[in-house]
Amino acid sequence: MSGQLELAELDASRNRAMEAEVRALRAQISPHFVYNSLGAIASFVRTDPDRARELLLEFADFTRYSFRRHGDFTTLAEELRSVERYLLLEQARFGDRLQVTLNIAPEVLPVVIPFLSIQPLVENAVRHGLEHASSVDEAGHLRILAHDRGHECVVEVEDDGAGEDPEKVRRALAGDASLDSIGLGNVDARLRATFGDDYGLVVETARGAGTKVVVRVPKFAPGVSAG
Amino acid sequence: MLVVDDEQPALDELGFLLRADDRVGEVITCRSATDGLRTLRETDVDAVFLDVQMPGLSGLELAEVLGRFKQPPPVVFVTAHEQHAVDAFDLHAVDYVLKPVRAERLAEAVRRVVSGSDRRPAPDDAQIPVERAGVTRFVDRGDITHVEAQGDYARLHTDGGESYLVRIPLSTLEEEWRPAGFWRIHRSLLVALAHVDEVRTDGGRCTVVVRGVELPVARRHTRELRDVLVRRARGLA
Repeated sequence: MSGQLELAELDASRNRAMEAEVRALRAQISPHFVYNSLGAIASFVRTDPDRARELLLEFADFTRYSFRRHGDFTTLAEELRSVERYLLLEQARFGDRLQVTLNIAPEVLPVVIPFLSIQPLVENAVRHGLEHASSVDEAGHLRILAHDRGHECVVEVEDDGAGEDPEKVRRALAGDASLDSIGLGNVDARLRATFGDDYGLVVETARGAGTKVVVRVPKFAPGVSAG
Repeated sequence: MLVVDDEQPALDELGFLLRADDRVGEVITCRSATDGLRTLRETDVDAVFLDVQMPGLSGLELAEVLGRFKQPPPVVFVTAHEQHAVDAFDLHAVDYVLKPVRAERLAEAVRRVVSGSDRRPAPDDAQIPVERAGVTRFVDRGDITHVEAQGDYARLHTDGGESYLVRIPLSTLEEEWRPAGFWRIHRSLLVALAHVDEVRTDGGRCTVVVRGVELPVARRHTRELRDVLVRRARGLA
């Protein structure tokens, strides 16, 4: 009897921990991103008013998704929609300097994933690829792949940007919040809390060599459904 | 004027706003600090408006280089991020302006450039609404010597010895008032650098004297505080 109570408590505390982590991520919309986007939009109000209006609407939808309250899970389709909006906003700032390739297999779109598990990875990629780029004349390339692998769905977020010291990444995944890309540790923890320790993030990176983050998600997991 | 920003829309907008100002003559735009430096090799400018975060050489690094010129041009930082405004203090920038840029705010920055002499932080004209016995008054932020945390509230202490309670957590004030020269010295204390008379160290314990009031400085804030005060002193010298 006590064993069951303990398990229930463990479950409850795990859920609370996850909720806290999602809350932390929700609050993470970068002010830098917000004000730079608004600044770019302000410029377009004058030079391309239709585009400015469009961008404002995308901005509203983007923040709406990030502030969403119901449920800890979503579909890959929804998450990728948010990613696309984010990239549209970043492209308003960077123009041709941000080159994005999306390769999404339609059959994995309905797969259920934790809310904000891909979005932060893309934000990191844009930061590595552009904000820490070495030159304004070089374009940053970002690739997002999602494909079906039997009973799993695999999502890869790859950039050819500045890369990161693998030791720093190890520390971030171990929970060290001092690393800039706080999203990494957070996403990893929630993936593992949801699907088990086998389903953490796999990060391939090195200074000056770009970054690739791989997310594996089981297509059918007990107790996981989009809210 | 030279404007440097790696994001084209931001560069366009700032160029447009500056050109619309009668006091401003030619505006040269550059998309990188390196291009900016190349321009400055051949052309003298009256001021440089710089984005802080840029690929390659950052705005702060460029400002440092400009500071070494025989005749350093006045620098105005333009940034989306308030944190960079603190570093603007260190580099004796004439002003910093937040993105998206308001024409009036930019005009103020141009005024400071034009008036030339301004190496000192401008007088703080922000006013804070406080309530006392149902009446709202305005306190000049420039008069505030320090702020003390009281739970979710903050107690503002002024130069005149008065104090007021506001329903704003200290951490929020810390972030918002940092560009105005307020510094965290303790878990429950924020001080206005402009009002610091002395820093005392006594066998490892550090305190600041702020308009006659002695306040403790937490160990982990001591070094930072001393650094920022030294930099401020150099700037005003």
